This record gives sequence, structure tokens and C-alpha cells, in this order.
Amino acid sequence: MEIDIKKIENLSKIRIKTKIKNTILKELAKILNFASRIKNYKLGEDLKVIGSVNNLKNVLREDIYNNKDQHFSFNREIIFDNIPLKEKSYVKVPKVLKAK
Amino acid sequence: MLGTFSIRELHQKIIKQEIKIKDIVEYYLANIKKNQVKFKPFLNVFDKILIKQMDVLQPKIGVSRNLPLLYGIPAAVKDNICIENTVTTAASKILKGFRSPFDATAIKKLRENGVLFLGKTNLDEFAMGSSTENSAFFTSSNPFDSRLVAGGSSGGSAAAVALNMAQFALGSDTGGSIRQPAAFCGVYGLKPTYGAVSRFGLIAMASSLDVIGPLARNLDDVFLVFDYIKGTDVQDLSSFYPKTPAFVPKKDFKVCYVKEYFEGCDERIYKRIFSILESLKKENLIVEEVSLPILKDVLPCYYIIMASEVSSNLARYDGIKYGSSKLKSSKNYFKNLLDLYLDTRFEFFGNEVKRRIFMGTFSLSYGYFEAYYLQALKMQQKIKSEFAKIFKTYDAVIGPTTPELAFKIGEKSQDPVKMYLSDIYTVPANLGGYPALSMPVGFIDGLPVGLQIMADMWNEPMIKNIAGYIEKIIK
Repeated sequence: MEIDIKKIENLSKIRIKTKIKNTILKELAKILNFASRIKNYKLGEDLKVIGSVNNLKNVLREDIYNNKDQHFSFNREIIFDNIPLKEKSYVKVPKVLKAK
Repeated sequence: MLGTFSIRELHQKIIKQEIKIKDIVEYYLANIKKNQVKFKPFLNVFDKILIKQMDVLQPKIGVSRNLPLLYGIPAAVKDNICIENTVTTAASKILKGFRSPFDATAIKKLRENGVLFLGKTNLDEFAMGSSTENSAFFTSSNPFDSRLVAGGSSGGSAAAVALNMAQFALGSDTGGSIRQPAAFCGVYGLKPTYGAVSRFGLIAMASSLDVIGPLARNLDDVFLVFDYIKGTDVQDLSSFYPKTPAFVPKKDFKVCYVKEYFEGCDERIYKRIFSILESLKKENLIVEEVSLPILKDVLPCYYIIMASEVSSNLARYDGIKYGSSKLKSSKNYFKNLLDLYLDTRFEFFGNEVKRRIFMGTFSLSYGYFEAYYLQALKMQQKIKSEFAKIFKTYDAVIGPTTPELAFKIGEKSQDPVKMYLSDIYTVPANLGGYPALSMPVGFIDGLPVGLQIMADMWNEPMIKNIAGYIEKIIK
């Protein structure tokens, strides 16, 4: 099986340096070989995919604001302390828009 | 000496004022000090916070009536469960120094009932592993032989309990992470029904399989703690526990063992478990063999589902919102957002975490999704329905927790697939959502053996019942 390592890097957003490319490919091939056993497993046609193991179903409520829904608040100060780079009350991020 | 008491016994001594909370805490802190260097179960110990907490709890004794059973009981917590305003790392470099802004629901419930938190225990990075060797910081050792692994991923919690460094501990179980270390360390570990304990505040690994559960030195403590942490929680919409028992309690029970569970198992473990099954038969209980050929393929199915969810859940570590970041170290990353992601995640994730993200990314990608992820979900449904059939006839499935005894540190760390195989008996309970307990049932060559009891959804009381029965006959 061909594994497109560039595609994996792009989707996983983890740098795969040229030096370690072959090691990663080898490891992945080994794990995929182990995982591939299930590909040929014969399952009934009518088998449905599991939703949740404890049989919960999604229920929608009316889109109305309810005071009771406001039952939780986070410690804002700690959340802010955890931000790697900030200025005043802003999170600093690299520029995503390019000038023409 | 204090360590031999159960929670109920300690509670009696506390309310009768025979011992002070301070004495219990000091006993455990002394044991932590004594054993930490050699076995390394803890990542972080809260000595300073503890003193403040004790001063709040002690004055109520003798004044307040109906103090909870857990009042003043010290616990250890796996470091992927959040405790407000303390460092939570999940044993990953990417969360080094991260302070949690809130309590996990399980922690909140314990705190409200007077539990004291001694500290955070070691694990495999993001709970991915079976030996704590994947921890970014250090490997915890087995309490019975420091050259061996404590198991994983809740290895720190299991070792801490076994070494009398806490009255009980919390762990998390995605594929056996509570039960396998419990078996290796000779303690009790319960993986509750999926959703029975809220996952709110548990750092996500594979959300459809993760569950928080207790580890302790005796059966009663494990189920007592479970009773305090279980319950439907509005903060976790996948949580649910019935308010009235789902099953009628009964004394006689029918159990089975799965033939395939004994293939590839260490013969000595096999014999030990079988002798217990024989003793149950002698007590005139029904013990029968069932066959589940699908179990041979349960691990690949588990690894595809788990890795797929891992690749999605760990997308949140981007070097911007929290955790370690390349932004701090170089101005260059201000030029390109993509490079920031790529390099932050490359540098701060460990090898096993990367492997699983890569594999999950692959199994969810275009062209492979149906053959891998969808096929695995269908197999999960099949495994679940096979077990559902079994639980129509039998009250529990009994077998070994692990195919082997605790292995040497370094023995499997170079071969990820070999490491995955040690989860073979524990994974089905996660795929089906079923509750399962590992209990210690003696020793082989000085190392503990774990027996696993798995029951139907929300039937934890049946597990306790059967485990209590087995305890009596093996004593």
C-alpha cells in the first residue's frame, strides 16, 4: 500500500522531516498491516454503524435562552495565564492575511 | 498500619475522633516521600495546598452530623483529570505547566464530599500506552519489582495505591488503562459503564471509549468511590447513569468464560483463572464456555477507532490557545501560521502520540475512510451485539485481565504493535461500553495476577457481587 507521507503531514499538522520520513513510513506500514486485518472481515449487509454504546439519542431543545443553562463559569484569569503569547487582553497569533 | 483500613473503617475512626485527618494525610505523605524515588508514581504532590484543605475540614468533625464517608480521605489523581488551579500535563510536553481553570466533574463531586487530593500521578502521554514508558517525564516502576513496568496508562495511580501512597486513586480507561495496571500492581480497578462517570474535565483521548474510574486496595473502596463519582452530568452529554438500578439484585448467578480469551495467554495465568472458575462450579454455580471468534480481530478494530478519535481530539493543541508553543521561542513563527502548527506539534508531542495521530489521520482520510474507520465501526457494532447476546444468558464474563504478568521496562517499548497486544482482554469492554473490574487473585513468581469480571451495561452491582463471592472462595 502506498502511504502519501506529504498528505499525512498536511492533514495531521505535524512536521515530518526528511531525515525521519523512512522511519515513520516503516512504523506506519507495520501498524497498518496490523490494522488491515479487519478489512476483509465479512460483516452482514444490514449491519448499522453504532451511534453511541450507551444508546443515547440526540435531542434538540427549543432555542430559547434559559437562566438555568448558565450553570458553569471558568476561571478567566487562569485561562489567560495559559495563553503562550498575549498582549493586554488579546491572544497574539501569526498573520493569516497576506497583503497584495 | 493506617493503610490496611478501608474507607468505611477510616470514616468510623474519623468521626469517633480516634484519628485526625492530619494523621491520615501525614501517613500518606510519609509513604509518598519514602517510595517516590524508587517507584516514581507521582508527577506532582500538593503538600502546601493539603495543609490549607485540612484546616477547613477538621473543625467540622464532631460538630456536623452525617459527614460523607469520603470526608477527609486522601486520594491520588491521574494527571489527565483536571483539578482547578493546579498543573495538569497528561504527561505531555505540550501541556507542561498548564494550569487547569476548572475542576473535572468527578473531582468536583469528590471535593464536595471532603476528599483531599494528594497529588497527580504518572501516565503514558495522553493515556496512550500500556506501561507509562510513553510519559514525557519518567517511567513509573512496578511496586513488586522496580525493574518491571507498573502497567498503563494509569500506572502511576495503580502503583500509588499498591504502595500505600493514597487511600484510593482515580484513573481513566480507554482500552484497559485502569484494569491492566491494576492487575500488574495487585489492586482493584473498575472501568465503569461508558458514560457512568462524566468525562467533563478528563483530557480527551478517544471520546467514545474514555471513562474515569477508581483504583483501590479493597473491593468495597472501589465501589464506594464509584458511587460518589457516577451520575448523569449536564456538562457531558454522553454521560448517563440510571437513577434506579437497571437490574434486580440476585444472589445466584450464571457466568461464562470466552474460549478465545485463553489463547495466547501465559499458561500460569490461565491455570490460576481456571482454578477459580472450577471453585465456582464446586459451589454449584453455572460456569460455561462460550466462543467468540470475532475477538481475534478486536485489537485492530479498537486501534482504528481509537486512533481516528485521537487524531481529531488532539487537533486542539495548536501552540496558540494554551500549552507549549514555538511562538515563545522564535520570531520566525510570526510569518507563517502553518509552520507554527507543524513545528509546535512536531516538537512537543511524543513518538507514540504522533504515531497514533498519523494512523488516525490516515484511517479518516479520503479513499481509506470506508475500508478502515467505517469497517471498524461496523465491527464494533458486531462485537457489541455478540456480547449483548451473552448477557441475555449470563450475568458476567470472567477471564484473565492480561495475557501476561508485568513485563520488563524497555521490553516492548521499541515495538508498538507488540505493546498493543497487551490490551487484548480489556479492549472489548470499551468497544461495547460494558463495565469491567480487575481484581487481584494471588501471585505467580511474586507478581500479582488479575481476574477480570465484565457485566452488562449499568450492572456494576453484579460485578461487586461476583467479586465478593470470588474473594470469599479464594481466601
